[in-house]
Amino acid sequence: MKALLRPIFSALVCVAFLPPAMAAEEAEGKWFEKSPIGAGILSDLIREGDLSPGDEYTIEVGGRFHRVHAKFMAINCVSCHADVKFPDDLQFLRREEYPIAAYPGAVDRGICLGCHRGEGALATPFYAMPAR
Amino acid sequence: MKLVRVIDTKRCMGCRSCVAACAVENHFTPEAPWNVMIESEGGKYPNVYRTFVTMNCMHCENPPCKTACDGVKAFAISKNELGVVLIDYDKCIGCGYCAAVCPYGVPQLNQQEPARLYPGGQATPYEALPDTQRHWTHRKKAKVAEKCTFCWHRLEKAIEDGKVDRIGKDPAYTPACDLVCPVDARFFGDLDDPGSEVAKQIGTKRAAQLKREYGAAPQVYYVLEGGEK
Amino acid sequence: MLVTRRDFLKGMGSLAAYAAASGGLFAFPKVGSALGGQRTPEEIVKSTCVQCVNFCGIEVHKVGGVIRSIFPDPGRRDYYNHGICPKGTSGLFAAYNPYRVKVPLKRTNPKKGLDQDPQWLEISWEEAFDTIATKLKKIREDNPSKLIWQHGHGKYLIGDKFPKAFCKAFGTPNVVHRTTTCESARHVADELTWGYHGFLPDIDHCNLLVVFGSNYFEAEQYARWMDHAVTNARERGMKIVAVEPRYSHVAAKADQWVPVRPGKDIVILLSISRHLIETGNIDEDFLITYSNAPQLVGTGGKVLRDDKGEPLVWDTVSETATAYVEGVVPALRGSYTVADAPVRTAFDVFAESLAGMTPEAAAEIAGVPADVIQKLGEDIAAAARLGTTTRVGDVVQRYRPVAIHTWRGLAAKEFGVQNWRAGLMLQMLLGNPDAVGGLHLHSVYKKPAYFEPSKCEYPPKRVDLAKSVFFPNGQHDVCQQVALTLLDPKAYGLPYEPEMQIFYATNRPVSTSDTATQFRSFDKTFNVVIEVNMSETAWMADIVLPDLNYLEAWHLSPTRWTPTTKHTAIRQPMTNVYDIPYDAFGVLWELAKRLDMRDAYVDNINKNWKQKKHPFEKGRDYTPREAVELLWAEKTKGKPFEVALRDGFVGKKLGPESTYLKGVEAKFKGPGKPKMMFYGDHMVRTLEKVHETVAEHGIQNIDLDQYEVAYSPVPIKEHAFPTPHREAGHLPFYLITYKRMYRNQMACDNTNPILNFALGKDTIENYVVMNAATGAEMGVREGDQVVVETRIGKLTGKVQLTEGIRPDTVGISYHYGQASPGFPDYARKGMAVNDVLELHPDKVSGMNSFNDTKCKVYPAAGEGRQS
Repeated sequence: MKALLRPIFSALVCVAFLPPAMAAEEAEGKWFEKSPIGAGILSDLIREGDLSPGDEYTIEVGGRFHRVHAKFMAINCVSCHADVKFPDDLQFLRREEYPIAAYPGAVDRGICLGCHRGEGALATPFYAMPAR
Repeated sequence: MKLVRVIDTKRCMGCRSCVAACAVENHFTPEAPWNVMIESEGGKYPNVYRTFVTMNCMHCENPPCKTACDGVKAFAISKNELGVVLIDYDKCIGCGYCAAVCPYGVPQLNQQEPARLYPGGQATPYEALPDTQRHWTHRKKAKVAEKCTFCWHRLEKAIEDGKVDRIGKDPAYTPACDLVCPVDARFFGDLDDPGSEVAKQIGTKRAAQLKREYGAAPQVYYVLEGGEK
Repeated sequence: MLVTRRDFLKGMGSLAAYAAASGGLFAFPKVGSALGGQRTPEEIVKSTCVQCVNFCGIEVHKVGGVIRSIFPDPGRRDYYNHGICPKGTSGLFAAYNPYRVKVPLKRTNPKKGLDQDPQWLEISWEEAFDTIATKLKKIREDNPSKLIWQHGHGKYLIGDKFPKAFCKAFGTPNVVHRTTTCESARHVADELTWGYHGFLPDIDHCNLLVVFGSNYFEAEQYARWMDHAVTNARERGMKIVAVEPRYSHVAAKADQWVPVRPGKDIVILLSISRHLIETGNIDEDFLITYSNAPQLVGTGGKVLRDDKGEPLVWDTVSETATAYVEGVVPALRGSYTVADAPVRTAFDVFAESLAGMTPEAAAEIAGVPADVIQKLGEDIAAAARLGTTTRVGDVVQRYRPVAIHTWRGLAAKEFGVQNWRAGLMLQMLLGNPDAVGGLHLHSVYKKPAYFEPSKCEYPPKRVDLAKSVFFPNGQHDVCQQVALTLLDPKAYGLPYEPEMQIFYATNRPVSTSDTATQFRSFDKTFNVVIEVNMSETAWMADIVLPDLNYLEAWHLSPTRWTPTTKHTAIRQPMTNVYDIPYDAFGVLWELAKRLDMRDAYVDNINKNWKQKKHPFEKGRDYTPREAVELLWAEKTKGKPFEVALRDGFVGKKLGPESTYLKGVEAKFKGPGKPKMMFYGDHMVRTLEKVHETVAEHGIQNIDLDQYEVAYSPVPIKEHAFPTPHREAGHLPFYLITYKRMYRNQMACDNTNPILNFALGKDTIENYVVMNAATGAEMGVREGDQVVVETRIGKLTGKVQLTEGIRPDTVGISYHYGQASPGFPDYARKGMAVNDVLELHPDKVSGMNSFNDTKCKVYPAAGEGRQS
């Protein structure tokens, strides 16, 4: 449970210091200077296209994926990249995925689940969606 | 019709024949396997156990990979009329989001041009089969995601032949990995058919999906030995 | 065209005949043209996989003339295999292997060695045949024994009956098969005990299967039947105990793992036998009625016989020593006086020999807690259901649902025959041979000669010394001895010096302990190798002939029987990737013609294959297909060949009468019949003959004390102490060998891309498998390089740590570390463990000692671990 709460906590604490360069034009220099933006609002702004983390869709560092998580949500690397490698008894097909990139290690999808679960989730709900 | 696979890891003895069959059938490209064997050991000498779990795409009812793909507006991933989750290589933008969200680590980003099977050699006649003699799922490309298709080319054949009811029963309409198992540890078929082997296996052996907390509702069921994560 | 190693690896060695047609170096044939956008129809061919000794039914799928995939033949499900292994599944790459030998090659560098470039010269088939036939003619005129034919897997590719017929017609006794590399000690123990070899547990009815080293999930004969049969039985409730030093896949699927110290299994068997006897858990009726246990043994250890040579028992009716005939009720136990001399029953000889073999004593030797041994004995006794019968169909039969199974676990060692004899005797105590749920024996008493003492021939006729005084019961040839005899024929009294060796589909030196010595023998002869790829043996040859792959040639395939089925099958060609014109059948036929012995060859073919209704005719040639048609017709009693082409086989299911009543019941039960050799009377008599022969010829290189131990009439604890265990106590580790699924049995699997790159990162090489605690103690981690050093050499490899091996044991698998420069580097990874194994063959059978060596292990850059 601790592992799941950690990224949520870091996200909530850290988004207050969103770098201005990351913000979309229409939001520039206005409302966010007055008070910190909550992570939920920020996520909505990104999803609705009001705030752009770039359109380079890749999970490589520097692309949109990492910008959203590491910059906009200000999640520390180690909050997600918790272990160097997956344990031998974990049922995960692409076991070698992160050790090739080495630092700082594999991402347990349980960490993603913390934010990306179900209706009303903070982040885009990839998991626990209702059945079609 | 709900097509599911049941893998009985209590019966599986780890030979990896299903892995080999998948590789041959689906024009395997090194570093991007569609089916793997996860072998793990537990306990302390001399009280030891070992588990064998093969993993391929779960063809989830709520596929997170598709959600992610739609989210980036690539729309390369579909869940088709038989419930099979497929990746269209032509639409795939290689972003890797599907790989990042899959709780089972299934989609593979094929990093480079498919390598020759014999390093440094030329293509074998098998590799040299022209695109016209390959199913579209076997026309591999660099820098796109790929994964197990439930051997869609075989299921599609069942549709074309008007023999959807023979899926999982007739070898021609059954995924390759499910055909080679020496110990009958794999079953494929229609869960909605109460007489099907998969339905019986799930009922009598209490087969269940892995990692149900993700809510993806996988269409692959496992009979587990215990000790797996 | 001269071909260097580099050229060979680049594929140029393949090309002469081929490049012109295909238009490029290293080219494959062109793939059939595209068929528009339509689905290309598949062609399906039924055949038999012959990449190992399981001979699974396969269904080969072709698209546009290309082999696209291989599946198990669903038709064969009821007779043998349900699935196929990764090798079988990826078998098309054995055919599409660019590293195959494609044209005949002649050595031009007279120096032989793996470090030498043979400077291969591509030659025509005509030149190859002419060179070989000219040499053969000369040998035949001089002394045909100087030709040695050796095959390994070749026995299964075209069958050993063709080479045997050829050699018979040629006049040489030297046809040498590889069984001492595999399990000959098990076969010989069977033969010495029940008159033939081959058994299987009656798994369908067994409730407790105790496995002393047999990896039926990966690499054994019958693996593709036992795997599903055992898995089904386990689901039904059968319990499995795996007694083995390394936690194999069999142990992983067992109910109990008993990690025994390598080589010491026999004391567990003896201790359990003692327990069964002491607690009265034995089948007295079986021992008296079917076995020689009641026969009377005199002071010299031989069974007493009457004037007609019939063995004597103590008749409890007449209170006299008499032959076991109708009306006689033999005593199983007791000491008596016969002709003023003390005698006792064979059973008592065994029982008394076990006096000291308490669970505690066995525990000390075997490294297994006494209570585990005690409990195993109790479990076996309880599972045996002594005194009960059951009904299967119309047959009422002894019900003994417990069986002991083994392959190399008990066999591949210096005292292999005695180790398995101990297993057989334990099972005779229970009365489980041919019982329901027990041990099903194959072709019981098919060769009565096995119950006679060996002739202990001297001087030896055969270069492998099989059945000579050196290996009196070397009934399955002694393949590794050929090289040793070649190096010094006079030392063994061989009355000739061999001049030529033909190797057919065998990599003999590499599959033998102490490989370096084996290779040295290649200098002594002119060597021809018929092989699909450039194996180490081929690299050392004077002439290499390419061979067709199993997907390219015709053959009446060998098949495996089960307790309830048998079948006859063929292999049929579905491609010829490199347009090779001959397989070994064709080579032999051509040579027979050139040697003007075709008709004599035909005679011997008919004799060996037992072709009565469908004989080969003299005065004409046969294509491989025509030959297979004749063999098929004979074996199937005239079934149309179309059936073979369509189905690949015909099968037969056996009824319970056939399964249970045709073996020991028919051959041994009751008075006036021969008896199972519970007691090795013939072994005592063979030993006597060894003594006589040694004395008569003044043979110096036979250690009679060791033959005394090896030929003991009953197994004893000394059989748990092979030479390295006695002599190399200073080395802390036992070194064991095993096989993995991914390379098992075929050298050319080392280039198969699926087996190397698709199954996981651990299949491309082998490891030094060590216990995790041992590794921690030595300060080595997973993946570290360590040196494994034995008394004859050392090798370096990568450590794999596991809880699944004894702390005092190191395991290294076979089939890696190929040394032939004819393979690419990635296919040569890992270690060749035979390089460092000591050779102390079993004196009874000649079986190679693959699991007896001791070693030390130390980090590659560090100091040795001291005991």
